[in-house]
Amino acid sequence: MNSNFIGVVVPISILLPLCMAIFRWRYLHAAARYIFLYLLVSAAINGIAILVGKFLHRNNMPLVHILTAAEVLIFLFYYKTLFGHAEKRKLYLVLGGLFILFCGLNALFFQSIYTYSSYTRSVEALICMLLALNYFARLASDTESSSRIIHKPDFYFNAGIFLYFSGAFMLFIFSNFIITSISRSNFYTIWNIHGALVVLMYLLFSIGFIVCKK
Amino acid sequence: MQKVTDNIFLLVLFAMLGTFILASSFIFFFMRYQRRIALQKEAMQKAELDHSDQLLQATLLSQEEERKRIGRDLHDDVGASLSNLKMIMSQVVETVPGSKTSYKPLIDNIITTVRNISHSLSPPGLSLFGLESTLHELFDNFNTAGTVKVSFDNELGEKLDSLGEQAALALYRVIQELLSNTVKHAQASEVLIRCFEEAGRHIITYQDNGKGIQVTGKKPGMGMQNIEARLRMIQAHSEMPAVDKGFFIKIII
Repeated sequence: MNSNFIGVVVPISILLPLCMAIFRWRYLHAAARYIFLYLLVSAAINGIAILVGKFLHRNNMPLVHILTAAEVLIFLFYYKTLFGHAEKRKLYLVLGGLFILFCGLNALFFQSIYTYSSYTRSVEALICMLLALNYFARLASDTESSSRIIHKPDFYFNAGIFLYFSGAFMLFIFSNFIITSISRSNFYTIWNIHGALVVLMYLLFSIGFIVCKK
Repeated sequence: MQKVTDNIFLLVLFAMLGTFILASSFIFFFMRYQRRIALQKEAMQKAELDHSDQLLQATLLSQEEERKRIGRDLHDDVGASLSNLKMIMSQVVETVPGSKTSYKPLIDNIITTVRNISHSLSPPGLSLFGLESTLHELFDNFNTAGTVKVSFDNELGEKLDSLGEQAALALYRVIQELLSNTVKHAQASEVLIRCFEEAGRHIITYQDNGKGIQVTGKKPGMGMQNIEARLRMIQAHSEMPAVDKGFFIKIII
């Protein structure tokens, strides 16, 4: 694996779940459409980041700050729609508001928008892992549902979210630290592993879209 | 203080792999647990279904026994008593001059009705003459009544009679139920029943030219449930492919 993997293969791999979602659009439930929105926003911001970084040779880290906030908001809307309990809906909105505030404070006082937002990325990973675990807990206690989990699209979405953020959590924590502490080739190795996790998440999302039924 | 010489790259790598392995193991065991639960649920549902099936089959068997008993009693007791009554009446009429009432057709009518009821409750010809002949009798009754014209095409010949008494009775009841449904609901004028062999299995097809039924995902009605239960009792099953007009059922034995 080299920089082509994270520079070309990983960004292009997002097209697979996007195409699946478009192809199966009429079967997608409301929550699944938020996953599509996440992919769309992710593709757009990553696309702009590649343009800014590779072709304009400018620092594209501000886009990571924006992407982090956008991702958390979209995932919160996804879980709000998925769980659909009216009394707890406010919780997701409050959590979203607090996270945006945290992103703002982090950018203003702790990590400049021109550096990698490791604090917010780590908190994002924690939030997403906890929400995915919450989904699994609900699934385990659901005795009513008759369909098997391999036929549930949200199982694949959550497996993708959980696996990706679990694997990338440590990288997010130490990302700014490793830039200065390890060699360039090792740095690429770690980010290539991150790329593999992203591709795994996209593959699971694609399966999720495929198993979406009427 | 001793200087830390750990390789940061390896530490981060292990941390990433470690958390990823933990997460994937969690998902793997979760899937296995859910699969076990699903299998248990399926087994329970199957057991419940089997139990209700057994109950239905037991009900049908006892119903058949009861029909047989009532049919026999009607035929042997009531029928015999009516014949005696007819004989006594003829003697009484002979001793009373001028009492030429039309009692004979009345009693004959009662005897015929009782015999018909007894036969419909438990077809006696089934064990004596076999399924084919009993079906012919059943179809003759319908053809005579004129409600529907029943055509019977038996390519199986004597094989139909070699099915065994329980299978013959079950098939007889199924066809009786189907004919009754056609007369009651289908507004059909013709029924065609065919018996033939296909891929080494006996097939009976039943088709009418009525308004047909709407095939929905809903639970079938009591009549169809009884038909299915009777067929399961003799290890047979049915298929209902969509047809342009009327109702069609294929029974595979």
